[in-house]
Amino acid sequence: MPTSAELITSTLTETFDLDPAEVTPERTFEDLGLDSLALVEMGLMLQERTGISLDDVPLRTTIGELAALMDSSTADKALTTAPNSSS
Amino acid sequence: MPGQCREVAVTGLGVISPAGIGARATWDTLLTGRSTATRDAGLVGLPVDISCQVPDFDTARLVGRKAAWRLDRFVAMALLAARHAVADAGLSPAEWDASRVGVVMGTGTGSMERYVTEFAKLAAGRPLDISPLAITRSVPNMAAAEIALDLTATGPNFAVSTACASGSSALGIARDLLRAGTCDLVLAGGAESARHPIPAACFHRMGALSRRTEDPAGASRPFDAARDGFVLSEGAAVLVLERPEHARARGASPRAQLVGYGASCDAFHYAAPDPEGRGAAAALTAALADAGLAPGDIDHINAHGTGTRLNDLAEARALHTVFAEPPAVTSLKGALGHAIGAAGAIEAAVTVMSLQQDTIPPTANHEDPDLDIDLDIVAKAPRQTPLSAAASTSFGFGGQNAALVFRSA
Repeated sequence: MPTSAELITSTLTETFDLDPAEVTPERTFEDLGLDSLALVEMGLMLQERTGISLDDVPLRTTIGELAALMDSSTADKALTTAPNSSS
Repeated sequence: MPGQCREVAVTGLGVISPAGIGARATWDTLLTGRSTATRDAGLVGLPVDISCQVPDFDTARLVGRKAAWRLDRFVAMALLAARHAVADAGLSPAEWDASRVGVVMGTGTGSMERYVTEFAKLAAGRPLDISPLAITRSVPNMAAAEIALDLTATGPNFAVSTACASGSSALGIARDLLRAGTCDLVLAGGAESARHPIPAACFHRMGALSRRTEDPAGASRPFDAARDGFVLSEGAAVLVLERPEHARARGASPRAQLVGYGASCDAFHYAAPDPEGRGAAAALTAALADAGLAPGDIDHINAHGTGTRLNDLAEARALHTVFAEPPAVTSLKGALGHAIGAAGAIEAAVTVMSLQQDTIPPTANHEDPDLDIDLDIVAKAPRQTPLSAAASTSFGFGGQNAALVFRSA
């Protein structure tokens, strides 16, 4: 199971033809040349793979920040869907 | 502003078709006389599940991943055809005066697949999952717009939609831009990928598709007595049209001259052609007059020839109206199927190659002539014969007709 950071990296390199060497945790999507529409498309692609909804991610978000956001969403999801988590 | 010119030079061709990626690949396949129709995995479960598909068209590999993520199939095919055409013409976008370069592209449906894909999200209660690019991936103008963006062409930029005549209409309008002195170069043609269950089911329900699904390669039979409809297809073609003095100044050798264009509307029925072919004859007569040629000057007709019972008969009547003795006729739809808005542009490109090679490709599957049609159909094998002028005809739903006349360079 790939990590969130790996999923973001593979989406950026495979779909948007970015050089893997460029895609590092501290880079923002703006740095990488994505525009706002491309970022929404990337969010939809990630959503298809993870089920996590990624609305309104700012272009100045870094890859590391988005990975952290996805990790916390996964954790929230795990909590809300875990057996007996609310009882 | 440069003055008016009568003829325009065709200096480059780009063709993406079920017969191959590239003008040469398409030409070579056409000469074999084989049909490209096969079973279509995307149409499984429909009463008609066959089509002609462009082989191995991988957008990311062929067009590049930089733009592939936002290009639907018909736009990607248009873009690749335009790049081929510009390379074939020996042009370099870095060196041309971009403000004098126009783009005119025809398409019948745009990207119907995109609308259906996005609508499925809406139907599933997920409106926020709809792509912000649903429009820019699918609307008809984006083939021309993406070509301009890719190659840097800042002159006039138009989409033309006259159904199955779209590709031919685009070439005619491009010709007018050059004649008027508005542009030095225009990249013009058509693109379509309507191999989708919605148009397939629709055309089937209209009775327009061949039902010979047990024999895909034998299904499209233009002008044949056993014809029963067309086979859906896809593809794109772009021609570089150029002012003759512009071509001369850069030392380009034209492949042919586009000398005549005629357009008309049947104003008869929303789908069926005028049974006497009056609108088709009017478009062809106008194209000949525009070219300054008499019917007897035309050596060959690259016909619309869909293989539907109504079209072929109406077209034959139109040709008998215009010509005392119609010249040799071929229909590429036997081999390539019907690529709707791209068909006229692909056929125009092949007409240019016919003039260059003095060769008429055969009409695939034409075996048993319909006696009511009485045309000299080139069938079974290519015909080598001197060609100095040829016409290409295209007719769309809505009765929209276009005819182009080319002359050897």
